[in-house]
Amino acid sequence: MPDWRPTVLNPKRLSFVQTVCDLSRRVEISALQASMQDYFKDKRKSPWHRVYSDIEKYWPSKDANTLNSALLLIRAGVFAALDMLSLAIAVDASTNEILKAFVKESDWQAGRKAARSHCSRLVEDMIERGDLRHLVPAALKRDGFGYLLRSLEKARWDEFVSAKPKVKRKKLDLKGLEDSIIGRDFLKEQMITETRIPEDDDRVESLIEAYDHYVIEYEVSRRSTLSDSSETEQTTLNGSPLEETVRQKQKKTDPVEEGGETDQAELTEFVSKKPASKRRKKKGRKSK
Amino acid sequence: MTKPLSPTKIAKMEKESVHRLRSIQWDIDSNDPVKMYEAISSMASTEVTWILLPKAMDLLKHKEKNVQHASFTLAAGTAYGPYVPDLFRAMSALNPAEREQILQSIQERFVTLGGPQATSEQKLWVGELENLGREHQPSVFSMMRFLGSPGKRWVTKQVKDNIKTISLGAVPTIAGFSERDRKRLLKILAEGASKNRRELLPYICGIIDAGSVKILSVFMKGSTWQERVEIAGALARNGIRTASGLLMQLVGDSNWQVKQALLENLSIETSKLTSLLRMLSFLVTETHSRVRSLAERTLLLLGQKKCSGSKIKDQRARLEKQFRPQLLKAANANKDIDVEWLGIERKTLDPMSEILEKVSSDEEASQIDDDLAQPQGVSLLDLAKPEPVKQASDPTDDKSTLLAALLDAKKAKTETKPSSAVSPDASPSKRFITMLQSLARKKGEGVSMETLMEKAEDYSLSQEELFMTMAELEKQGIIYRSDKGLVSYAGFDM
Repeated sequence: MPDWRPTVLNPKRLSFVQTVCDLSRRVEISALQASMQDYFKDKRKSPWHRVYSDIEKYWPSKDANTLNSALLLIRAGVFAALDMLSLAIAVDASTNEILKAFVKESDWQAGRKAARSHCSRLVEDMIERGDLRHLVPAALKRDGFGYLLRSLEKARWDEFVSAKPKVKRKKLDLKGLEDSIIGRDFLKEQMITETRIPEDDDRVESLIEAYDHYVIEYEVSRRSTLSDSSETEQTTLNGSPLEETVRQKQKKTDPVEEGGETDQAELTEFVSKKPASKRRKKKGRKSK
Repeated sequence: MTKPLSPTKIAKMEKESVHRLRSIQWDIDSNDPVKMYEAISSMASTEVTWILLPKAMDLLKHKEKNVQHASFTLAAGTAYGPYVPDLFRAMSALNPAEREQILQSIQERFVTLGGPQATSEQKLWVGELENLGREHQPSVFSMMRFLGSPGKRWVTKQVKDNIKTISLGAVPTIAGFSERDRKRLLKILAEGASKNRRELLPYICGIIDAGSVKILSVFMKGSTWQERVEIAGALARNGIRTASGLLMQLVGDSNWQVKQALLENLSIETSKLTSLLRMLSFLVTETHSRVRSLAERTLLLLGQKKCSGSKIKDQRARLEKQFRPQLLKAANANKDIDVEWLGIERKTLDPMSEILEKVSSDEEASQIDDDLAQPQGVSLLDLAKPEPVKQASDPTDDKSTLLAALLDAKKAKTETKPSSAVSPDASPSKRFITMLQSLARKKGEGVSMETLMEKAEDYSLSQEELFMTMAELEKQGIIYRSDKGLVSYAGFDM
């Protein structure tokens, strides 16, 4: 475990930062959560709004190493406490940014939602841009971002299809495949570790053939699983989505959700529509 | 003194760290094995490992054993909340040995970082741990102490309701609990074990402490002497602090081994003088000479070692007042203990004088009388003690003498006049074998210790020689001692 304590410590000024780091070091996520909830009750006791300004002011500037660990600990802690550890590495947003979104709200639920929807927007943008590398589907699902999976999968697939190996300068270029997520699995399956294969290599033909096969097979299997509904959607027995009745309270804090009937039709395309995604995300967490 | 850091610098630092972690996470899945292994090793050594937990969870089913193992280690060291059930689910696919390894990692984490503090987390862990197979019971038991009251409750329930399925390895882990819980658990355990699982007694004795030793009294009812020896040992190891009923029961035991265990394991430093003296006052009047001499030796030791809460000076004064005759007797028998404080001088050990004593018949006679008057008890422990010294001196020589002894014994047997055939200058082992041969009425029949000791002088064997030789031969498997204390020749066809 890292030593995050700065050599010259201003104990009083940095005591809260220290507490947060310590909890994070021990992976006491529920305690961190409790502390973040406490922020809305007692800002003096749990000054989450001050974490970064305190570091700026009081952390000895020479202590780059310990600060590095401390920043990572805070990042991991904050993301985990907001149930989105899966995004701690994936998104570019700084922890400070997330915290700002969090502390602006008036209570824990709203703050949590604000921070989460901020991140989920970032993820949506990432998927749109094709920046898929660091998104781990199973982890996203665990953190309640299941509704992003389908677009993620599609994007991954597009990435793979567009990475079709081509012969360049008498060599089969596999860079595209290596950089795509499905592509590397494919290459692993084919036991290929090079980036370029000479055109006259025996493997070239079989590789291209295998690639085409893979595309078709994958397409078929994907089609067959396409029918299952969104992971986080809750429906009543007659198939209509579970509506506002349960969470009237939360609705108030989120006026965008008053979308009404149209929401259901958007189920398949929600990725590009922020309001829809926001709503769904919240629903996902409701079950908690 | 400290210059403020700019927010941009902080954000940059954070970003750099995140980027480093990203490249690790990306390379783990690389189709290039070199990159993959590098990433795996840096994953394990990165500063804040648990930020990679989501990725590690994804790799728990990885085909590559090394990757899988590294991921399990990371996950075991950091899993929390929603990750815990997933981790245990993945663990169920492993073989028991691997699973145990993961449990060890979890335990290590609990030891270094402490267990989870939130009750909900504790319950979560308990719920997952209790579903593991019985082969993991010791690990599970020892982990429970980090899981707050849900953990304690679980162990209590197991001890209370499932005493029959508690594995022997799980009992010592109870020692890890805090003192209050340990006492409570031991009490329940002892009560259950005394009824249904008496074989747990030695394990319970191993972890019992001064505060809880009284609990052992539940085992006294209907106990065998071996069990009472365990209890006596545990009681003595933890120091005699009160002359409790249990202690008095053991002091008055009909079996001498029990009393011996009491004296042999005695921890003087943690005992109270008054209680010790009370116990010893009974034991010095013991009929079994072995116990009696041990008790006397203990008295002598009390002049050297401090009991808890008393001064050496006072101890000596009290001892001399109450036990002077025993102390003087013990002073001569226990030459390893300093007795200057008694104000007596021991005879200096002169090798010549011993020989002279043996040669001169007058002295010998008196010596024999003396010895016969007070037969010294022996235990196997005594026999074993001098043995290594001899072994170290010349093992090869010993073998040859042994062989000679065997040959001689054979000769002696054919001559049917064993006693006369032995010359005093023959080796002790030879003399011993000859003696054993002649004393055994029939071939292979045992000879009691008492007879051997009586007759030893006839074969010019001193008591010391007798025991040393016996231990030697016993170790080499030439002779053996039956449970009745009979010494006989091992299955050699002479």
